[in-house]
Amino acid sequence: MEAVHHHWMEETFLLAEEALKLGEVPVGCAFVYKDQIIATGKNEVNETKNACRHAEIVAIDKVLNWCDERGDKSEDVFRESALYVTVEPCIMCAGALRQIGVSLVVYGCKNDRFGGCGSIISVHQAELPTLGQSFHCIGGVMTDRAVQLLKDFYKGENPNCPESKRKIKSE
Amino acid sequence: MLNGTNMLNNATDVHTNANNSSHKIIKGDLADKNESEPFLQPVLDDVYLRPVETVNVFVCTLKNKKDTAVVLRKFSEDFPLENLSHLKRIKSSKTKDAPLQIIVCSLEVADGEAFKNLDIGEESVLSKPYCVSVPRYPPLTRQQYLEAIQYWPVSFHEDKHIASLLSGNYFTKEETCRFKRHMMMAVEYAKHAKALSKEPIGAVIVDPSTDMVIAKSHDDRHGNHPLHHAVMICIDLMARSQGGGMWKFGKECDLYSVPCMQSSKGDNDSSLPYLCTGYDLFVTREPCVMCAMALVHSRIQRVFYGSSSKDGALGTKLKLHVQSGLNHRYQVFKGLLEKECDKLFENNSNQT
Ligand SMILES: [Zn+2]
Ligand SMILES: [Zn+2]
Repeated sequence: MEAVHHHWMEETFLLAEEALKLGEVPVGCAFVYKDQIIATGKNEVNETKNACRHAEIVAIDKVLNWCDERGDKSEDVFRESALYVTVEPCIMCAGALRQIGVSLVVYGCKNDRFGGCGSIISVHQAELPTLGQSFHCIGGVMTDRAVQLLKDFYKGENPNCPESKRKIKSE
Repeated sequence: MLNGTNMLNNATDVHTNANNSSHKIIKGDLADKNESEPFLQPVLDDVYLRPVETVNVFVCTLKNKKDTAVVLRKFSEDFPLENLSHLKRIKSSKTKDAPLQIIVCSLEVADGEAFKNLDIGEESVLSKPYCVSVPRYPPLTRQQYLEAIQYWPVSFHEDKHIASLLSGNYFTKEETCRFKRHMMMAVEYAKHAKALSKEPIGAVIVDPSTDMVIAKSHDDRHGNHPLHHAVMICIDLMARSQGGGMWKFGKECDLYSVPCMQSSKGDNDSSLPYLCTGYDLFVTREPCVMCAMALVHSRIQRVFYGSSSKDGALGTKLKLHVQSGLNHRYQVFKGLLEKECDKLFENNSNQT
């Protein structure tokens, strides 16, 4: 099982590295459905000027399009999908993931600032019936690599730079 | 640190506690004001609203008042009150010349050697120590203070801002009128959504410094995208109005009508996506946890909502706007045009 997780996580790290190169917070993710990746996402907060454009939201949009093109019902696809993501989803994304009805989320490192799957609050398991079913989480897969990427990002921030020029810490 | 689940459970617990008798006084107060005039209820952190919690301490009775200074000095040195420093050490009785009571220490401290070796002195000076319930936390509001002193004298430093929020007179009449006007617009959008068989929720983002409407939206979660909640759309329309945006909207896009505008913040670094800094959101229904967190990410300043929702994250199930651990907090007021907002959900099967 562990090996399977590593396989998919490898893919998400490529996306996170891409985000880092673009000056975005390095987070990447992938939806795996029937043993194949059907959508990926990386943080696009600066690009869209929308602080909510997290990797998970990007990937959710792509799954919806994918379902649309194939004429599949997205609820069915999400239910049978797993999300792999380099960092624990934030509270917003955890709320989004419940509403689309994903059943499993596998992540790398904890999200101390915004984590919605245990770190700040546990949206994934909370008693919030109108938000949809709770989902299962497996954390700590390839943690070190995820942490290193975030460290690289924050190291790149020059603390002497004026606030407005500094990168956005949004995931 | 409490883990996340506990935090959630706590939030729910406190909510339940709010129904106990000692707390009804506050609730009744607010309800009365609500009837006479429209009252925007601030959604405050539970620490301001919780009924007084007590903790047991050891207390002795001082038999002779002339010993007060000596005993007080000894106790202060041997048993500093530490996290109970809001408590006055001595409680005098209402009846004149009745004996004084003095706190020795908390029960935890009483397990230690210092207490066991305590030389209480002659029986004539102090009684045997006995347990007394005293307020565990310093009072943060006048209501809590009045409740606390029923147990034991405490010191109280009133927070003027919180007191003003609780007074019901925090906003001027003009401000309230303006807020109502903006909420009315959100209600109109919600009605439009309802006519289209969508979730009857509307949202409007306003720059309070100019009173200008920046973005307006209604819910569309049952359309092509389950995340198209009114708030999420509104935030994205803000981003669009500044040359960004993540979603394309269908022909209903006309409806959202975003004015094309320059950043009014005099900040020419438009790469900063904290577009809601300093802005107000008016939304007919209490946001869900996803939307509430999206507002944290977007750095909204204040949120006004009309009716509460079952799993709402700004007062009902959670208070995400004052969640500890997050790097941004915002003010929340509920009950603005509540009747109108509640009415939107009449004959609606989806009670979210
Ligand atoms: Zn997120
Ligand atoms: Zn929502």
